Amino acid sequence: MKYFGLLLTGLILTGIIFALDSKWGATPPLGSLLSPTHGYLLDLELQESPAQNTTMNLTGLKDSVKVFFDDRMVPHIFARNDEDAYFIQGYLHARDRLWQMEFQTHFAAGRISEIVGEKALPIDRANRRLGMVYAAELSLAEMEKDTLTFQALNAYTAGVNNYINSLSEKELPLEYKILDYRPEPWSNLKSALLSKYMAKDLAAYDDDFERTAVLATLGKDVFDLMYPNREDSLDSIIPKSFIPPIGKNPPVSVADSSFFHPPMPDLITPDNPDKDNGSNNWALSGSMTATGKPILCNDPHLRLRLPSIWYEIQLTTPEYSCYGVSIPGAPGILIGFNQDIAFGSTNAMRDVLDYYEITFKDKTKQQYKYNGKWVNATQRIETYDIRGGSAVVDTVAYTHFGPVVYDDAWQGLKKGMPRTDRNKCYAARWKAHDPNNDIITFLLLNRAKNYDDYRSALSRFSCPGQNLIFASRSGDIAITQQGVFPAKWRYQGEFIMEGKDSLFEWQKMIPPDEILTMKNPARGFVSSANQLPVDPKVYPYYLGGDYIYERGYRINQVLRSLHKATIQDMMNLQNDNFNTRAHQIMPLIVSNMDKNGLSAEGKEFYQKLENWNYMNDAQSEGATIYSLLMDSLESRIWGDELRKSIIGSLPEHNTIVQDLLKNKEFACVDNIFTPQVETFTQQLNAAFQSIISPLSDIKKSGKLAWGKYKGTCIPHIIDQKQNMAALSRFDLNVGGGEGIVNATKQSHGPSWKMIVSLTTPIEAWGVYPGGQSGHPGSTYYDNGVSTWAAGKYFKLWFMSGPQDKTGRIKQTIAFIP
Amino acid sequence: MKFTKYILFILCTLIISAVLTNFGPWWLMVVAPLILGFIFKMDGITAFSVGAISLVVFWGILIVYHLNTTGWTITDKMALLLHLKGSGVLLVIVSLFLAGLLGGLASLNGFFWRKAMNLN
Repeated sequence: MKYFGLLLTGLILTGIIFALDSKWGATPPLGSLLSPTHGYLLDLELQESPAQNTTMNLTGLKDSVKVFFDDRMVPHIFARNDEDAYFIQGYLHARDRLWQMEFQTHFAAGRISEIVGEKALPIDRANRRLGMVYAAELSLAEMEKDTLTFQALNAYTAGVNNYINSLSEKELPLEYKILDYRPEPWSNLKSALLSKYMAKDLAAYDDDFERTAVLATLGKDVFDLMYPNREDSLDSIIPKSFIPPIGKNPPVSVADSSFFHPPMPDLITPDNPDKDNGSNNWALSGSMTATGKPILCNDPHLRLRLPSIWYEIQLTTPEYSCYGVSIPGAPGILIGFNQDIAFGSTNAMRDVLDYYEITFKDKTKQQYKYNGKWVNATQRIETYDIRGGSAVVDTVAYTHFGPVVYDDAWQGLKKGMPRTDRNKCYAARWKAHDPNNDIITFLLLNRAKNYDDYRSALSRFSCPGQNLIFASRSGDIAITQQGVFPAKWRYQGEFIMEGKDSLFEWQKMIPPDEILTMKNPARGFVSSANQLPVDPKVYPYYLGGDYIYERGYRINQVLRSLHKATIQDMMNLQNDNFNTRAHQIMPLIVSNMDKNGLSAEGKEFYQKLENWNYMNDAQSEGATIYSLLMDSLESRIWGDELRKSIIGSLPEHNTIVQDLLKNKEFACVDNIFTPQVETFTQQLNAAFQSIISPLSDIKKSGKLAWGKYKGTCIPHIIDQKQNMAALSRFDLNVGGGEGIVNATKQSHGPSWKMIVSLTTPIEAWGVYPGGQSGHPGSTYYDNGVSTWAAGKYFKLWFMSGPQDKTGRIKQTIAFIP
Repeated sequence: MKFTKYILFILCTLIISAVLTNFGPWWLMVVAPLILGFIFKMDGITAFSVGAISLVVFWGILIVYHLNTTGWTITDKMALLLHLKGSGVLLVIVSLFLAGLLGGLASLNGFFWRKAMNLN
């Protein structure tokens, strides 16, 4: 009996300890997580009870650095040299966002399956096969050639590692405890991976396969209706008068009839970033503002996540002082201002990722046909260490174009697509694979003093192409579509291209002096919102890409009407909910609706739609009805074509509006699978009938108002299913939407809103839907969310020096070597 | 007299567990009630009870200390994450239950060691 008791209690005790100390599927090791000696409660100590004034010793610093934290925990760093400033930036990024910065770079490196197991293998393969690590390695070598960048990266990395090394296992951020792993040392390569993470988000949208399929199955006429080249674009970024003189050798087209009659490609649907990754920016010259000084505004539209992609910071050295947002994982400030200038960016949207069909000699993929010869490919072996499983090895062939992303071993993320032919191989030619140092541009902008400094900083930037906007206290405003872009002939890269001869290759890059730029235009403002950079009729290089015109059109319309613009005007414009597309298409809808054919409930909904003021305000019911109607109409009009093309992608939402306005009976209105010819009126009325029942349900659930229907939310980065209310923020009542200046979709939109008035002293306002701390228990985890959702701003405190006491200082840390 | 022994048990647990978990994993906290259950002469039920109380007190003190600095936010969030309907209080109760269970079992195991070695 006594042995039995000993054995039994011993077994139960060790059994319980083992169970509580292990990770079971998605369930974290509960024992350590719940224990007050090691668990979730320890996460915050640093954050929550800071002494007012502290001194910390950090080995690796050259000199002492003073950091003032304001009432939103924004650090204002005062360093005596550049390297110390970046060292402390790295240290504080890690202190506040370590898990996020490491997870994002693990994602870019295709290493998430090391953390969560086999389920992440597809996304890891998608990233590695696109050559994300290859690109980061090449770019790092380029970055390290430049002294300033090299020093900045080294100091930043040292700062991050100093923090990581100071952490004991118990002090790890919460996500490490939930997912049960440990951070590894930071490296310069991780910063380079982060830059490729951004490049993938902004310059890797690709629909070459989808478009080739549409062309192959439906022909050029239908293709042009679905994916038109907007030559009649209303309001490009750069007006004609600013187009630089173009050199004598525009690219020569080799497109012939065979190019426009391609065979059906393999059924590949790439892993694409959100189509609406874009932004708004504008700058007003002093002649247009109430203060007589320029104003610069910027709001980048990205996935909205907690912790936020942005981290506010002020970096001050004897040379310069810059305030703005940085990205945890890289030194410097990406969007911000200093004592003399302000700068910001929007995405250029150009197509810099093209696919070439490769003909290999045999299955070993050692040699491929190029210009009549067999050329050697190299092989890159990718090993995936899978948590709870054995490693998976994947060999990717590399051609002179780039990696063979798709072949018999990999057909993309989306499953269930039948492959027509598994022998086809497609290599990517992606600008982000070319060695480039884009960090330097921002390091230089941070310390730029005038227009010339701005242009010289930009000249170093190549990918992802950006509309970099500028305003200075001396009165200049400017915008430049900066990037190294391939000089393409018309339609080049729109479809899968032949990799067997050099004719289809990118022939050269657009020379730097033919970059599109504009300084101090007579109209008094510069702006961009992901629209066409220039009228394609007067620019010889094919622009490709997917451009969005509505936001730019509305912004320019409002800016033209402004006189003595105030900060409030700028805030109103960033929060503007006017639906340009609805304003254009609604008259056609009204004149073709058969009201008499509607039920009483249908009439009620229709009445709301007809009386709608085209504003996607949070309380607007008309906006919800319009949104459902257009979704239904789009699926009726494009659905049959997309079905025939098997993998065709939904055209831009503005395409249907433009096509209908030109000809309401355009070819795609008819359903090609029915014997009769459908008219627009039939399609429209059927679409309206089909939404009555869903609208009725929405109304019953009390969600007919646009803000409630849209249900804006900011999920935690690991909250894929958007059901982890603990770490996320749900049900924010926000207006706006796709194609609207206030571009807030469900969990995508203005990730940082900034307004800078270049007065003396400079004044600025900003907000982002998150908080400085990445620690979910911190007050500063999501303290900006409500302000952001209400369309309000924080006044940014640009601290003039350590003696400046105009802001509310919450804490001061003196870091000493 | 008995009461003093129990207090001594609990105090020793607090000190030993604090030291051990400071340097090692969380579960080293069971070492103290196990050893003390072996050293102190008690009946089985008492051994379990005192062991349980000792670790409940150990975790309880630390939880109260942390809640005092962090507030309830993170505890409520964890409760939401662990499907406890966002009740931080419930999460604390569950945590203390686990601590008590482990403390009781450890102490009881010590008691059985004592019996097995015929030290009565």
